Amino acid sequence: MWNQGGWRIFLALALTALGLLWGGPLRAQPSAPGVPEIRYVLDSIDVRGNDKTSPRLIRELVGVTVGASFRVDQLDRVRLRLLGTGYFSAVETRLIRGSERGHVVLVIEVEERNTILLNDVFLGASQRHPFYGGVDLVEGNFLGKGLTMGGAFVVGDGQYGLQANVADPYAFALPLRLSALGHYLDGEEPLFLTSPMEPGGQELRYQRTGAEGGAGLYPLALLGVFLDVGYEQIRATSDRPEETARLIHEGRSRHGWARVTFEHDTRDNPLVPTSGYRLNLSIQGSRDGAGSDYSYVKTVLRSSYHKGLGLGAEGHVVRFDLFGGAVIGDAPFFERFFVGDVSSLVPARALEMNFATRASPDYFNRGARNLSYETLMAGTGVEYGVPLIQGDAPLYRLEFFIGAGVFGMTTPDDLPGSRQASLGIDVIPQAEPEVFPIDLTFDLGFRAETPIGVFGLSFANGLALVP
Amino acid sequence: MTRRPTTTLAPQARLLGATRGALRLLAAMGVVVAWGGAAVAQEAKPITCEVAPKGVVRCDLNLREAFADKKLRSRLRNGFRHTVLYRIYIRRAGDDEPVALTARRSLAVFELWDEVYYVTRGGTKHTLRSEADMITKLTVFDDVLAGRGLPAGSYYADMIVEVNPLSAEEEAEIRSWIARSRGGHRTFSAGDRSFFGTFVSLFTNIRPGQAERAFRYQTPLFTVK
Repeated sequence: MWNQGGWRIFLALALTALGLLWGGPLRAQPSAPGVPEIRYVLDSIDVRGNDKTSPRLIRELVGVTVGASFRVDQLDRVRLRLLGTGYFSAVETRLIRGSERGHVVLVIEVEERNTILLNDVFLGASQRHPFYGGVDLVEGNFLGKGLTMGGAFVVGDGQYGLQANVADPYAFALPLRLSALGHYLDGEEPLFLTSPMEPGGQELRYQRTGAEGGAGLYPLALLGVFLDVGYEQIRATSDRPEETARLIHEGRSRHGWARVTFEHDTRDNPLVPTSGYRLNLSIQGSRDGAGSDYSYVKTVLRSSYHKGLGLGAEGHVVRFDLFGGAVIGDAPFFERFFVGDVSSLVPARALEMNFATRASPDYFNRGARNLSYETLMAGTGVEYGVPLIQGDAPLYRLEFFIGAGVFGMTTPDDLPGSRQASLGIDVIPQAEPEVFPIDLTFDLGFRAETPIGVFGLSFANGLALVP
Repeated sequence: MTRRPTTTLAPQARLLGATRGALRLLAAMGVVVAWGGAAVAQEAKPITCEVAPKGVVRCDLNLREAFADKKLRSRLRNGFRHTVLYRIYIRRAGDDEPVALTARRSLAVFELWDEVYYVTRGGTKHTLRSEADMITKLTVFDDVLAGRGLPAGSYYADMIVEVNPLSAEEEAEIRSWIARSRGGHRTFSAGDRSFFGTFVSLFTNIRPGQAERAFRYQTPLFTVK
């Protein structure tokens, strides 16, 4: 329900954020002088130092066929392309004379790196789970074939989730990414009822078994288009099925969906960006009868902008975030927007499973403490990063950051302040349930970018460990 | 070319040479490496600027010293095409604000069978037999117009030289490779949690925006009257 000035507040915030986004660095644009054109015939590609990585994969990434004639400038980016895979810590390239005049051999010397990476760590505690935790591991160069193979698990008191995935980021040596993912989730959500006559301890239990496949295409270097499809079998058992029918079908149900995502990303660094922006728009749909028992459309738009402050404040970065989304139809609860997905002060879901019971603080006294799974959300945030150390490996950047944001969420046909039953977060009826819930979120801490990952220690991390 | 010097600047006082990241770090920390005195009095200075009437600043560049590194010279002979980008900023003393920018670009490639260097500089192609000639062609520039019409005040020249810098398009392409490796196109899900970062996230061992080599030199302050 976008009322009580909620839209106007968000519009004002959005315009304020956009107004701060302008400006660009002074950049030299010298005219390109003529380029000496030299052509050779490639006799062979001599790969050295690759104990694990398939030479065939490396040759495919070169982009020039053995036996073919090529221009020298076609190889300008070979070294960077190989480094960009993440398989190597160092790459050196050179051409040497080949079998006859005009022929050459391309020599590629690589130093392989550890490609088993810690993608994510789940760690926390809540009133329902004295401790919950898990990890998301990925092998970035599985069997030396350039495949990404990963697995993740999270476990708490009475619920757990497993996930496995595989991807080929350079399928057919084309700008094409193919991926597949499977999951099994056995979860439970506490069901909070407002009636004082109702007994406590009621639950919704569910099991989700499914798989999804995806293809990502980069028609332009900075523009990615992704198509994902998924299917899962759901089994849900609720202590109050009449109250949870709007959130998930009781018993067995099917959930088939398709999603298209557009992403434009100009950030200088995907992990700790200091300039550029990212715009991500995804539209997901499911239709009853088309491999699914649910009908809905889910749209999410997210943008972030990063700007270095330059001279006088070298390395200082301001980051803006603007996002919004809507779910129309009868989407299962896990496809809705959970308050922990947008607020740093409520633990985020792990593998789409909620372990938290903490409500949003409701600093504006607008009923945000009742937010759980909602169908509309929007928000904006700003973060300021102060570099403490900047340099080369092993510590590229250590920064102190402080950020704050404002967000709003609701479900128009089931207002958080007047709903009779709520999943995950206890609900307290409001005197004015039609007030649009808005709340503040913030975080501060330290973030370090290293060759093995980005490590953060923040107020929100600590808060997640407090039941 | 006839010069019209009115002020000859003192020997340069600052030298920085490192990758771009290190340059930023050093610049941020205000590190200045003194370079002067009798021991180097005979060496050519990387950048020497002169002020002429009407706020004109002209500079001579000599980067032979920077290109003396064996590894760099070996790379220039590896058969690949190499780009050297020179940028000279005239900055205002006090607030370091750039008031003029001049950029030049040179290309060099070694032909393996004829054993000659092709160097393109200022739109002119040169064929050079010796490595020394190639280095000279890449590193020595006379009478480069670095600024004109500058208002009266104190300034200094800040020169950044990058070997094989990444263009905006190349940076963009590298970012897309990294993005493909990560597959991070999802939002509000695992891998893109909340708005203030993850506890631990995936690494990358290449950081776009870096040149293979970068050097930075600054002159002492000079006055435009």
